[in-house]
Amino acid sequence: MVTGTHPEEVDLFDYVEGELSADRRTELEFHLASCATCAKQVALVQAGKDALRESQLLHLPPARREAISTSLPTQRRAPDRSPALSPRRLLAILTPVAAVAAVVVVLVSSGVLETNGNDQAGSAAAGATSQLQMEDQAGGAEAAPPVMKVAGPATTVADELRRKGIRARAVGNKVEVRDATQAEVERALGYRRTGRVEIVLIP
Amino acid sequence: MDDPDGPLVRRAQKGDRWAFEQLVDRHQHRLFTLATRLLGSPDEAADAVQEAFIRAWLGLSSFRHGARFSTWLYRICLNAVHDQRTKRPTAPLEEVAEPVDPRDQFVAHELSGALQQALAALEEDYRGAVVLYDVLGCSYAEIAELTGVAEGTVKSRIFRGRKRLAELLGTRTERE
Ligand SMILES: [Zn+2]
Repeated sequence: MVTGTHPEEVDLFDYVEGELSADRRTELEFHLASCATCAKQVALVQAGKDALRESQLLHLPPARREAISTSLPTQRRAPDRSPALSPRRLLAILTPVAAVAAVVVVLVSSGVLETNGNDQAGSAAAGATSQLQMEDQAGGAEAAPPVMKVAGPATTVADELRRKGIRARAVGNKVEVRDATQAEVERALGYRRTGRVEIVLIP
Repeated sequence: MDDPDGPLVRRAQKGDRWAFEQLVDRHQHRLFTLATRLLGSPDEAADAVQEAFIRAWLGLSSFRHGARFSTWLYRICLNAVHDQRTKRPTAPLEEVAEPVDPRDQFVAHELSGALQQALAALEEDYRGAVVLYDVLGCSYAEIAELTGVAEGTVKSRIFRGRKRLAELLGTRTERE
């Protein structure tokens, strides 16, 4: 690096990132002390970096998180046999599934449908896709009596259980819990007041 | 390569849907941040994220260990963002009132802010580079792989993207 000419952009970048060797850093600082053009560039780049790093992670709304679960087709294909469908074919299959699932999610969340939303999404999706074998993940859920009733919404409760390492997902106004005991659920949600979200354990 | 997602990915590849749901939980907010910052619309971003996870689930058998799962997922998300953008302008849909969640309000607040406006004004290549590097913490190598350019180009895009962003934000550069 020559102090008489401006350093390369990548050198200025590495300087801002603290990725220059001590010698090169000293050289560059010497240049910056006498070059307003480069000093201004460095200041701007640093300011842009600061602004970006202050921005926070944006959280996917819980209802949209649940919509992902609802719209995932249940695949029963073994990964190594049966040639994969082409992306175009998959999309052609998926588009109606996603649309049906989205409608069901909207209906359930808006209270139009009071019954188990996943049952309906599952059977509707199965009807739309003979290519993929669908299975009803929530089978039997209706039969299980709730172990707890807490204040909702269900998606928030499911979110919270998952954060605490418990397999849980919201289905309509219920939260299905797998591989956990009643005691574990009570420990995780014990502080919540009683409400209308039913927690059911799925064996 | 030591991928923290490796064990879950292996289980998901064998059809363990729960393992995949764990991966969704792990990456949902980062994908949403990426999509939202690139698209500027949380609704479109959520659609793109949903689409990305469906594609990932269906395409899991094509994922090869040795690459990072997160990089593979980001690439799928970038494609979904691209597809989402090409769908514009969308037909007006009837708005469905959703319960007010403080986190949604936070997203709305973030998107109405100066940073998002400045990001929206950036050239697309610069926007992608600064969001991947400064917001999501991807490495130069990852971004190079994701965007199909050399690492030197990645650095240059981050440098110029940040500089332009600061100019758009009207940041004071004089240090007092
Ligand atoms: Zn200079």
